[in-house]
Amino acid sequence: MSDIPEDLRYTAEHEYVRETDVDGEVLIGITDYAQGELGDVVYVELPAPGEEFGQMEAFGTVEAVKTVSELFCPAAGAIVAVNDALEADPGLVNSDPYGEGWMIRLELEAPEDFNDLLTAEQYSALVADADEI
Amino acid sequence: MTARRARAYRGSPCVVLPWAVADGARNMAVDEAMLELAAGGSTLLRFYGWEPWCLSLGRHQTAPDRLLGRSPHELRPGVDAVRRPTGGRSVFHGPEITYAFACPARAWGGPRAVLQTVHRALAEGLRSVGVPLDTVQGNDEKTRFAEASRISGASCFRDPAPGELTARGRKLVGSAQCRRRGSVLQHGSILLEDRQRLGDLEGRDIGPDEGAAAGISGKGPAIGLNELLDPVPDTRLIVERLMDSVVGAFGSPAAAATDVSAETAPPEALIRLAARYEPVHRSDAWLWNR
Repeated sequence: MSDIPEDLRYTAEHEYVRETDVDGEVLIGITDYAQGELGDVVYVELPAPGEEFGQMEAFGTVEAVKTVSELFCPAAGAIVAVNDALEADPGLVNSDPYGEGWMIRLELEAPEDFNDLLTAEQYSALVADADEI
Repeated sequence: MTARRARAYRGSPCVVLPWAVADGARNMAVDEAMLELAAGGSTLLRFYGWEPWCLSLGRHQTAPDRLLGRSPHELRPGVDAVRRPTGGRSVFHGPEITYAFACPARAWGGPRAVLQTVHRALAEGLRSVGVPLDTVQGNDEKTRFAEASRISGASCFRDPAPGELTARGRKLVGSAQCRRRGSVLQHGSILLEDRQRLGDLEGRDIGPDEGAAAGISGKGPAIGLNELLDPVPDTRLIVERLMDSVVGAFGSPAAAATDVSAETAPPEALIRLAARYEPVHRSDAWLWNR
């Protein structure tokens, strides 16, 4: 059973978005469900701070068990910081996806976009639907 | 899979593209085009060859300093080099049958299910021409397969990954995947002969100084059909059997080009998309990006 925290927002591509203590800035990573589906993560490719991305534009890639998956920006914005710890220890994405395994910190172009993302309940339904297949 | 979805997806045909032989950049461009078409709901399959022979690097594999920035033809006259959109490690594409399969991932149970189903189908096709495959190993043997996931300069064929096909304990088929916007591309090599020492960036120089090695068929961790079958059946027959198995596993064929000898053109949309990706795969910026 995947962990889907109530206080986060989600995308259908299995990214999560966590609000920070700075208005309009969010932390983004991949969900517990996604890391479980991928298997052992061996590499995470992230953008440089300052780069800007549109909503659902690919911002990086993650590799696990010879599979490369693209990562999508849940909302338009500019990269404020990336998690450099993933370079040395990409396994943090598996061991602590919602904590030490975060990927990027994004300044939202339109902070209200956060409210358009999937709620935990909606994301849970999506995951349940995927598991049913 | 729910009954409702099963009905819907079983009705989705698998488009089989014609057999083609091309250089590395063209082959990778066509595979990426397949991935993009799959995002629109298509399921596609093709088998192909390489001319000239080619070294492919994994998407995140770091090229050794001695290779960085050099023209592929400097590495070894007549041998090409590309970087795949998929993960894993280097492969030397010489005497082999290469496959590519792309589909909407959820349509067939997700990327892992696709991986397993394709490998099972390839195994069925290979066994039908007499290949004595080992029992397919599952995902549960995590420790044994940990090395295959590690990105290094080693050849892809040095270590088997879960579900990959081996014979006499040596790797016969190596595969990798790329997932993008709900679709998945899986491609891989079925070795006719083992030349994978030339794909190992750690142990063997692939530069011009090692020219004499071009003809070496090693007895390493990889194995080719030439060591398993005597005589090796015609490539066309092997491809037909593999195609039948994969199409049988993923749906009925829809394309006009199910005969590998046919000169039928691939779909227009695929040609257009491949033309868009090809310059990227010909660029040094992509090839030497790591």
